[in-house]
Amino acid sequence: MSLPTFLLLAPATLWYLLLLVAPLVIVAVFSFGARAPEGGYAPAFTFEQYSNLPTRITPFINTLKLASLGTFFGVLIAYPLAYFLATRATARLKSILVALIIVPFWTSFLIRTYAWVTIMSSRGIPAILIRLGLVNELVLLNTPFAIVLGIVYNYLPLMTFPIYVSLERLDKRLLEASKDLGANQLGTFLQITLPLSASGLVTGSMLVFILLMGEYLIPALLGGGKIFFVGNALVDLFLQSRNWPFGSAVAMALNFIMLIIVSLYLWLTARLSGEQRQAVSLL
Amino acid sequence: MMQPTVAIDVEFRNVAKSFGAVVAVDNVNFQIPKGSFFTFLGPSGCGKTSCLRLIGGFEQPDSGEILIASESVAQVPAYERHVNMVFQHYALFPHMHVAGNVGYGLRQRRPRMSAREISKHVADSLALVRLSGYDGRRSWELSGGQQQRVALARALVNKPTVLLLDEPLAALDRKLRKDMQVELKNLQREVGITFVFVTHDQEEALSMSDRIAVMRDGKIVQEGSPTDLYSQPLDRYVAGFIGQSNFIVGTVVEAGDQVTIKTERSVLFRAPKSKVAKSLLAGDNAVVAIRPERISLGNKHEAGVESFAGRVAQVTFLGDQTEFHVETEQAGRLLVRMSSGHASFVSGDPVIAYWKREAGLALLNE
Ligand SMILES: Nc1ncnc2c1ncn2[C@@H]1O[C@H](COP(=O)(O)OP(=O)(O)O)[C@@H](O)[C@H]1O
Ligand SMILES: [Mg+2]
Repeated sequence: MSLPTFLLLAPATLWYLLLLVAPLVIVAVFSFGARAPEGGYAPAFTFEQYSNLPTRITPFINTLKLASLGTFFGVLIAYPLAYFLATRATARLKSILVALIIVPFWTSFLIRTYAWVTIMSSRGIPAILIRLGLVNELVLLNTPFAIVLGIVYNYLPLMTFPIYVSLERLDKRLLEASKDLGANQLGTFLQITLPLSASGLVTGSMLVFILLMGEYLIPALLGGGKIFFVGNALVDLFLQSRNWPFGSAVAMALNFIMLIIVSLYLWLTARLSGEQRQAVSLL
Repeated sequence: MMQPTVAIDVEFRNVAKSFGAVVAVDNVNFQIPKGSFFTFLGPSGCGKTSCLRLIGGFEQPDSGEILIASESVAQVPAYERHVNMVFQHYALFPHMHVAGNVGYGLRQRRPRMSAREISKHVADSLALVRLSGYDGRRSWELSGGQQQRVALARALVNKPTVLLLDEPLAALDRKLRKDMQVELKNLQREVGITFVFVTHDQEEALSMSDRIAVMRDGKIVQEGSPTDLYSQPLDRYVAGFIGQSNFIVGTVVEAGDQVTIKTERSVLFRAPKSKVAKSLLAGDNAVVAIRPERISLGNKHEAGVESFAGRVAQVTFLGDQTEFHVETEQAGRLLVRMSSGHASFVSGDPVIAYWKREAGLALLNE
């Protein structure tokens, strides 16, 4: 390795070794250990923590549900938005909309989310709708709806931009060629636009899904903290009951699930863009 | 113009199309006979592609009427027109292999065509463009010429009434382009479909077309068979665009079937008037067009021909032919093209450039 190469790579390598690999190794080692009587970690080699994992199956299921729902509704809202930005919006409208999507993220996450708490609380939107006589009673805060709303809102740019980029890159002449060959608007969308933007769709979904696996603040703030996620379980195990080894095992399980998802993603994108790219015809 | 017995596949009636301030198609009229090879010829930006896109339904005319197979298509969207297009850069679908691309049009048919039938038609179509066995290839694994043929097969498989081709050979190298010109013409005869072809290359237009419409600034300047356009150009623009021409400008002294013209150097000579262009009157500014291959070089003035004395300024050997630039006192610089065997002049030689009077064509100089 030449000196310049070494110098270029050294900071990043050091960073990753110190802040990613080392903690990961520690967590892995802890997960085979035992809980010290006063809490924390006691050296041991046992599979006890892993055999206890089924007792925490509910947070895992809740987390996967949250991540799936969040990704699903994210796609539902981000795809049409990205499609509009890439194909319909004028240059001016495009820059305005992109700014509108990005600007809220200059404010801290907590402030934004507390703003939603206020908006959806009984003195917010429900009060207005009741006063207008549109509904008799309405609860928004601490409902699944509030959670999904918070998630879609916070993860929208992450989902929108990869899709937007893939749609923007799409050669518009292909759409004309499709119509020329007899496909109508819908047929062209399903056979040309959607398959050719699948890579953006998969990238956005993966990003959002992975991040949602660790998400617990939004459900805690907007959902009233009634549902227990892996994130809650980890906070609980490490900080409250101080069962570090079991917490580590839970963390390892979470890492394992993420690993599967990332592998799936890599496999999918390789299929979509590589030599083996197949016709992803949805008809 | 055309015998009424010939069916017309495409007709424009006073069609106009503007993009903002740019008039792309300016009140255009034409009829394309069934089964013919019809070419729009003109420089870049003259509105050729716009005409094709209007036929294909990708643009709507601002005014006028478009008929395909004698039916107005004003209300017919692109995907319902029995017209297919070979796009300028082929526009092959990158996520489908060759067979997927070629079969695309057939898969849109309702009621559905069986998979067996589709693959049979696809195979036939690929055989037609000599690409049998390429079914599983990806577009990026193909050469430019092969991609072009896939695009052709993808359009032809639908058996359209009219096939539109937008400069399909422009991206190919010279040798391949020549081969494809012949191939395309043969293909058109074989399938009998009306081809509407767009090019800025006059040689390409002359070699393939049954009829050519020469365009300029959104208008059709002249329409006719290649020989018509070559021998009877309507004006100086067409004479210069279709093949090469020498232009000698002057004033009409005496009009008639033969026009007598006085050059700027006050030399008198005669040329037949155009059969199709506006007739000339005494006093008009005129231009006489003479094809380079109709001029010969000699050593002395001969009787019964028009001739100008000059000096060879430049000699370009082209293989079977040789081009001479001859600088004349009275008619300026003339381009002369002769068979290489017949010409042994070198740069600096004094020569007489001469041509039979019928070789000239007197036109109004606008
Ligand atoms: N979609 C469009 N928007 C704006 N101007 C256009 C559009 N299409 C064509 N034009 C203009 O119309 C004129 C004719 O274009 P085109 O038909 O593409 O010419 P050609 O194919 O002969 O090169 C050009 O000046 C071109 O810039
Ligand atoms: Mg063009």
